[in-house]
Amino acid sequence: MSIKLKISLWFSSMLLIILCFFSFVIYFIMAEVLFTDAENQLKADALQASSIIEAEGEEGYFNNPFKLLVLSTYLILYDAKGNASSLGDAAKQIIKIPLEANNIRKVKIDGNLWILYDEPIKADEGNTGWIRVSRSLMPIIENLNKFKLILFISVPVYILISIIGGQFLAKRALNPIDSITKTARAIGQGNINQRLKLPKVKDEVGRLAETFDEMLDKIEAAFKKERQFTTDASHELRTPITIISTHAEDALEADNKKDYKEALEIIYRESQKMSVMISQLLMLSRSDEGKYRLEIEDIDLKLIMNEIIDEMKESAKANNIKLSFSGENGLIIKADQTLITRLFINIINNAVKFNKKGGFVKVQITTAADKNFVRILIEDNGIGIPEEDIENIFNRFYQVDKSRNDKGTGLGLAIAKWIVDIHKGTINIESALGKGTKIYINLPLEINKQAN
Amino acid sequence: MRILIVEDELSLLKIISKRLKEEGYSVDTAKDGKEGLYFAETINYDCIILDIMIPVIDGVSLLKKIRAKKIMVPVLFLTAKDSIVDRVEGLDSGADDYLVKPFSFDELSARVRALLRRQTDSKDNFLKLGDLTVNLITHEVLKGKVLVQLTSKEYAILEYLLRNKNRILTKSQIAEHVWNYDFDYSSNIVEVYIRYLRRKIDNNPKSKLIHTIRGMGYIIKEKND
Repeated sequence: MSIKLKISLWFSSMLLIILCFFSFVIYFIMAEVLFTDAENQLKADALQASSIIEAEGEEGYFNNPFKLLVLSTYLILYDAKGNASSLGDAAKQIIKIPLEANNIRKVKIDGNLWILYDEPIKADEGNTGWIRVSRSLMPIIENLNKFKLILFISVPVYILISIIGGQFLAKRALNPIDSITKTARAIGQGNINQRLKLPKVKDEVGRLAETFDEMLDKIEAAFKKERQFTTDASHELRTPITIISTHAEDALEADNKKDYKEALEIIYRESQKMSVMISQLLMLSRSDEGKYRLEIEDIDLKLIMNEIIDEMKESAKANNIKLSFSGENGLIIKADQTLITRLFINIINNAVKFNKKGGFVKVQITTAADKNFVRILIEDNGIGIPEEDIENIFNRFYQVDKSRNDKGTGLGLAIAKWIVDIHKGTINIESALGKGTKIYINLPLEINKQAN
Repeated sequence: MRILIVEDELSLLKIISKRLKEEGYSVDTAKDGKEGLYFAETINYDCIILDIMIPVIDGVSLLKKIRAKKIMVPVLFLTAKDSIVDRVEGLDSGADDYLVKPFSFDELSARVRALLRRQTDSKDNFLKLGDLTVNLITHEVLKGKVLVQLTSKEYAILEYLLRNKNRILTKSQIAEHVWNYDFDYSSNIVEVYIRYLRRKIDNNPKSKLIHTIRGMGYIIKEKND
């Protein structure tokens, strides 16, 4: 069942209930008003009649009762003994009903409903007679029945009108949704640059259309990023492959052990580089898929950093670079040990590699003031990063100087950033060309309690 | 220790993989025989769990191909209930054990441990060297009488070293048996982890257990051996 029909039926049902309720209420109020009015009128007539009679004396009226029939009510004059002075079919029956003072009574005469009211006539010598005022309610009842009929017929008509009208209005409101569906179906990987471009209406459907277009923007951007990544990766891999195939060709033309050995050494070296790059690429693409499974354990950062620094001292020795570390005890965070190890190795590796002879790399770990996260600072006085490169430094494959001999894959910092992100931490760089670099990493003690 | 699971029923594959990872194993998964063959040829697994009914290359043929290449990894077959013929054929073509579906994971886990035990000639679920004791079921590590807390990878490296005690293991072998396929083997991560391990269980230079063999790798043994 379509939403349009659902909405129309819902509203029509509600309208039906309301109209029925309303009809009942109005009918009963109307009936009540009309009947009460009739009764009051009856009383008023009686009062008026008796006061006229009292004023003019009743003797005159016993002989001339019809004087008062100009009133809408049926009036009968009785003498003191209860003898009535007026006649007529209905009158004959009405006469028979016993007198009762000041009480409006409903009676059935010949199948019709009448009300009657008896008022004693006061004369100077006390109670000397009665006036009975009676009236047929049939006109009222007939009108009420007409009213009932009108309601009975018109309510369904209103409902029908509302169903049709509702369908029409709902259709107008919901048509944009059908157009969204159509466009959505048409959009696939091939033409993801399509947009709905519906007029910007500020209602629910308008917002839906706008959000849909925004979502497509995001998806298109993600696809672009991934295509770019694939292109860049292929490009980067082509260089070592070219070197390998060139040297392999050379080796095939060569005929002595020395030449073979040289070629093979280069081939081995380049294939190792490729192996590294491929592992890194796999790790990054896994992270892109969002499928990386973190192994969260309690990690003592001081213990970890100590061992990493000791290990890196070997390669630092070559250029006489001094590594030092200061950290508080008991700096325990919940994290993935392998990733955190990799993170620190990557960053410190860079700090050592892009350094000067006799430079230093200082690492400091402290707890933040609000005790929810730890701060790690890795500072070096190396060659620094030019200002225009700082904002791109975490991009995949980005390298400040591609002509270096010991250039890596350009993925180390991208991986480092991903590791920090997946632990819900933050990483920032301050650097000045020629002076040095400071890297600030904040990691929350627990991933669920995010660092701000 | 590194395990390969070849299974085409994805929900089963997922749950076995997840549970084995929780037990500390490094796990790779393949959903058909061709993919499984590729993995088995490329990587040295410590155990392969193989479903008999898999697409592209069926379980028994896959096993025969693997054995033909002299890959002697222990293989555990998963078979459906009613195929005795399959079971016989499987065992005869080189499988070491079989498990009938449906099975409880605990039983699978125990059979894997049993297969791994055979590789090290040990008859119980403990690995011992010097004053180091490793409980393969609870993963508790005792140095003398003291319980040592190791992280999951530290434990995995120690287990791999001990199962191969007195044998030189290269860095890439260690990496291969402790981390799974997507892992970036480069840089000094294995060296750093050996340092973590040494700091925790091998601090005494007089009774050193983990030795570095320059240019080759590491070996765990008692100094006198």
